[in-house]
Amino acid sequence: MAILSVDNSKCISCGICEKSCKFQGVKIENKYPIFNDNCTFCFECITACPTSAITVLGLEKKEFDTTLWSGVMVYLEIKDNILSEVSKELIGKARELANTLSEKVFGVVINHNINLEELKTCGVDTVFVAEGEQFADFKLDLVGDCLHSIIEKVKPSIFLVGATNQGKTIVPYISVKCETGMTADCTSLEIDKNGNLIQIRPAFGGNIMAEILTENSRPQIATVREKIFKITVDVKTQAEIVKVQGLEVVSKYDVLKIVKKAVDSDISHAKILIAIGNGVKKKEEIAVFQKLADEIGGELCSSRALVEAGLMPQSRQVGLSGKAVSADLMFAFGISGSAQFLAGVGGVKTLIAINADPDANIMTIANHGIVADIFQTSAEVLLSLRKK
Amino acid sequence: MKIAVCVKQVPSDNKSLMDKKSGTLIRNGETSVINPYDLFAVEMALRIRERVGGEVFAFTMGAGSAKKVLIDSVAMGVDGGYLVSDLAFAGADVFATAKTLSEAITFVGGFDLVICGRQTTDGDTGEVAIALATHMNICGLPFVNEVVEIDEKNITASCDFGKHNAITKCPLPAVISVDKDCGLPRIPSLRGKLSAKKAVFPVISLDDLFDKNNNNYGLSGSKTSVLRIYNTVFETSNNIIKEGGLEFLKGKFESVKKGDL
Amino acid sequence: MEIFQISDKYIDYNKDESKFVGNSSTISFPTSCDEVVEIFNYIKNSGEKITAQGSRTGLVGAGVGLVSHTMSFEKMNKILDTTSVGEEYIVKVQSGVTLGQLREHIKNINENVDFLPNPTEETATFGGLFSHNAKGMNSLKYGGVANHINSVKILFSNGDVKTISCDEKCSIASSLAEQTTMIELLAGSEGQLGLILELDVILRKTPSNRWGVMFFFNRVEKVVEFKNYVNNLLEDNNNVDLSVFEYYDKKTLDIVGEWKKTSSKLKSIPDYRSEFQSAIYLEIESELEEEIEVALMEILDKFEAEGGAESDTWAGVLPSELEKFQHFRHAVQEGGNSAIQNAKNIDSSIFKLSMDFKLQDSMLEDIINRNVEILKKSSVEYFVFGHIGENHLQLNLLPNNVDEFQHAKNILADMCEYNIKNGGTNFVENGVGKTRINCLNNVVNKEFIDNIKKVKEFFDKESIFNC
Repeated sequence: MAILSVDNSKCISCGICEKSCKFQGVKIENKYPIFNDNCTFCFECITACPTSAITVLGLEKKEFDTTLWSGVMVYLEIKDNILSEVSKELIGKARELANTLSEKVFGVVINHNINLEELKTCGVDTVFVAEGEQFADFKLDLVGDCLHSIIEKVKPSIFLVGATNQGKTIVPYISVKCETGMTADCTSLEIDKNGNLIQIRPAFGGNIMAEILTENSRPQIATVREKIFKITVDVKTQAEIVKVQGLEVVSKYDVLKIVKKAVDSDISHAKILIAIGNGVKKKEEIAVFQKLADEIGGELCSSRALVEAGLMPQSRQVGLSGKAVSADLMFAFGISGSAQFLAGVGGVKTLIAINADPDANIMTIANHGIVADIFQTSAEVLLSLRKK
Repeated sequence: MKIAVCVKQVPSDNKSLMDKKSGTLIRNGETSVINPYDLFAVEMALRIRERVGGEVFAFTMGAGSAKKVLIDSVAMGVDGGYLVSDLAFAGADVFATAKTLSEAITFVGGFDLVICGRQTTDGDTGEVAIALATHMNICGLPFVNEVVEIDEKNITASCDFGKHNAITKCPLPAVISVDKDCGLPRIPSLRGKLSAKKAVFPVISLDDLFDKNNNNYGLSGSKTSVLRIYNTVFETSNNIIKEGGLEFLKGKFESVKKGDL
Repeated sequence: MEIFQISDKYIDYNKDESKFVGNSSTISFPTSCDEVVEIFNYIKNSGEKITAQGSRTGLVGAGVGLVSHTMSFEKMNKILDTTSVGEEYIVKVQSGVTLGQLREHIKNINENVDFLPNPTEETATFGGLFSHNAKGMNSLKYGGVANHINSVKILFSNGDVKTISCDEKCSIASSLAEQTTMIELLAGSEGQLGLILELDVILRKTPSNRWGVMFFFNRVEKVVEFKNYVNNLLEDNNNVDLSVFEYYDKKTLDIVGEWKKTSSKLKSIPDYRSEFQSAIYLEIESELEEEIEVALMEILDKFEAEGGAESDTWAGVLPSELEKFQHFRHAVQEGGNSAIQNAKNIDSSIFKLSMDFKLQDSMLEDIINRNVEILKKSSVEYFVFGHIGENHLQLNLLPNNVDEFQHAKNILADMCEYNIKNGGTNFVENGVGKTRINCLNNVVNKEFIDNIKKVKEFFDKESIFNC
């Protein structure tokens, strides 16, 4: 078993290790560092120590021949009979990584009723296709075992999967079967000087970024969420289609029914929000903002004032006595930004405020502030959206 | 029915966690709690026990302080718990964590169902449940938002795959991971809270496990390693757009409409 | 020195939580004592009156300006100094500092102390909290905010700025004033006796052990017996203190249940059965862990012996667990306000009518067992909750329209009279302010009003402040 150890003869009691630790996993006691349960083995202290006094003991050097593994493979998920957006995004990224490595890009699709024409121009070099009725509804063992056999044959160095619910299910299965590492929700992927994939992801609620390596096993598996990478499809490449025989396996799973989910209009789950505040005084004035929300697939919400005035339902109130929202993007029209309201928007990633008052409190916390008349602005934006 | 619930101790509130000046995690007082997602797993286990009878045991991997989450689970009504703890287990990634839990649960033995929370608020990978099922070579149902039916042989659950729910049936034993949609976790009763303090939890260490090779656990048994850790730089550009605000806004709306956030 | 016109921009400052609407035409936001004095002199010389205002969380319109200048203290929000005194701390704050701000500050000092009173509105300023002598659920043990203030710096109408400390006796010759200290006189005066500039807040050691427990009752008749049992059990126990003892009736539980659906803050509170007829929430504290557990076991045994189900209890020990119960209590207020909102939107003259009663045992029992004729005959919806431990209950009426509003006023007046006849007293815990000034005559006796007049005259002869 591995433990962190200090060579006291090299230690100069500078305390840099304690300062470098983000988790308070090491404290100086009686001049020397002592490690505790908070240590996450991130090895920042080892890197930071000016005299290299800290080492990790008991870590067995592993032997694994990575040279046999080559290529970047993308899991192609089909949604509504076409290639999903995130799969397309990953193809572009895969090509970029493969070019750095001078290797090829593969796709793998395991499904029913597959549109081969679309696959030919999706931008990969070779697509491995396993088709069959048994794959119509996703069953973990059927898809997983088939994928496993394909990976064992093709031996890709890197395997990228979109972090959809299906992707997040297939990855741990395949990772354990292949006895290899997996990293979830990567926001960035790079190749290091040894040709390894650096998988970068946020941890501890986004307060910390971690760079992860899968050094002694293959493939290096990473999941990536939608819209992290942009779609950059190379239409010139014609993909070779390789049909793969499905394994003769009876699944342990039985999918009894597929139930389409109702549209979720709960503002606490909405990714895009348009919020209206005190600047809106009459029922008729709300319409333009609802239309804007509809145009961009967002939900309408408001501050407390409009709910109390009976203009908006309580379920759409954002704030201390309403709902806490965690949208990726919020446009706040005519909202002053009282403490009451702001208490509900801590989870919003980007807040754009539009207000006629440049001194409105919200302008100090918004990512972008626009001083303008909210009615004029919203009307013009709506007009321009409808033209496109 | 014998049910295992996997629970984890995590830092409490992510936002106030970071000391802005030093960039380190603040740990003082009450800053370690049971992973909020695991409360839903415990609740699901208790509801299933109410439905079909049986016993529920909590498992947690960690140092001695992790006992607290076992106490919290017992306070909610769980029948007992196990502390999976050994120096050899420290520094484990998802692969090694799932391996350790699978060995521990198998060691205690006799479980029909294993329930995990969807993810943790610290590591956040959301992959342990299916990795655990795969290590144990049993079925795994992910993103469960409802247990439709359960008996001694099979479980039927609604699995959330984004735009649809797949009502899936599989044989027991199985692992399921549950999300926040399946019922608000109960607040411990007074009797539960009082008696939980006296609960005793057996410790499962490396020597108890079938696979005693310590290279298969902890840091040594992990397939991934950390290269670097650094503080996220938060974009706090509170800039007021003086010129061209309308154009900026139009542009923003247009890209969002196209699907580009 | 900046004085602003209240046009559209500051229109919200003419309103507080009570929704009482004022008509100030000017407003200022001083950031220091000097600025307060400067603005005060200017306004005084112009012959206008001044209304002091905090975060506008008040429930009775005391901080809303009526024919006066509004002086908002929201920008006087600096925490000035922190000193440790033995196991306690004294924190000097400007009067615009909020309770929430102080609680954040305490996290950085010492986790073993706290500002012990727990009024649920954390966004309230200390100026406001002091002016209403705010109390929380735990006033049973800790009293009001004033009990935890070491001194107050105040600007009087004659222009004097004085620092009054907590042991200073009152110097007015009046039967009321002779028995009190200056701080006791000033606290709860709702801004009428001076402008509060700074306060020295006392932080005391938190109890080593604190438990919060909710008991849900299926049968209303069991509540009073339970309450008496708990009171008797802990009365003579020197090691264990009852610090909170609250009662929620069925309608209160329904209101919170409704409110839960739309408030993220209440997400952590599980659903409870609609069959529950009432609930009791208590908090008990002790330096001795074992003693508190023994007491709780006895209370639990009694609850179960009287038919209460073990699973019909909720218990919490950690601050994060107790916070849920605090949110529950706060939701009673917010949910009640929301319940009246629809009626208010139709006719803005309607508002929730409420009154606090200190009751004799028999009337307390009658109210809880729903045996009061006046209420039985009432066509207006109402909910009752309060500090059952001290025989204090608050009656809230929710009229749906103007007719019901009139009925509600009558019901309230009848209940006040009935209570006095039964040997109880009527009072207003959240203050009188402007919304309840008309009720005052019905509620207190003439002597009390005369005394208040004398005090007001002494401090603010020219009637500059907050009339």
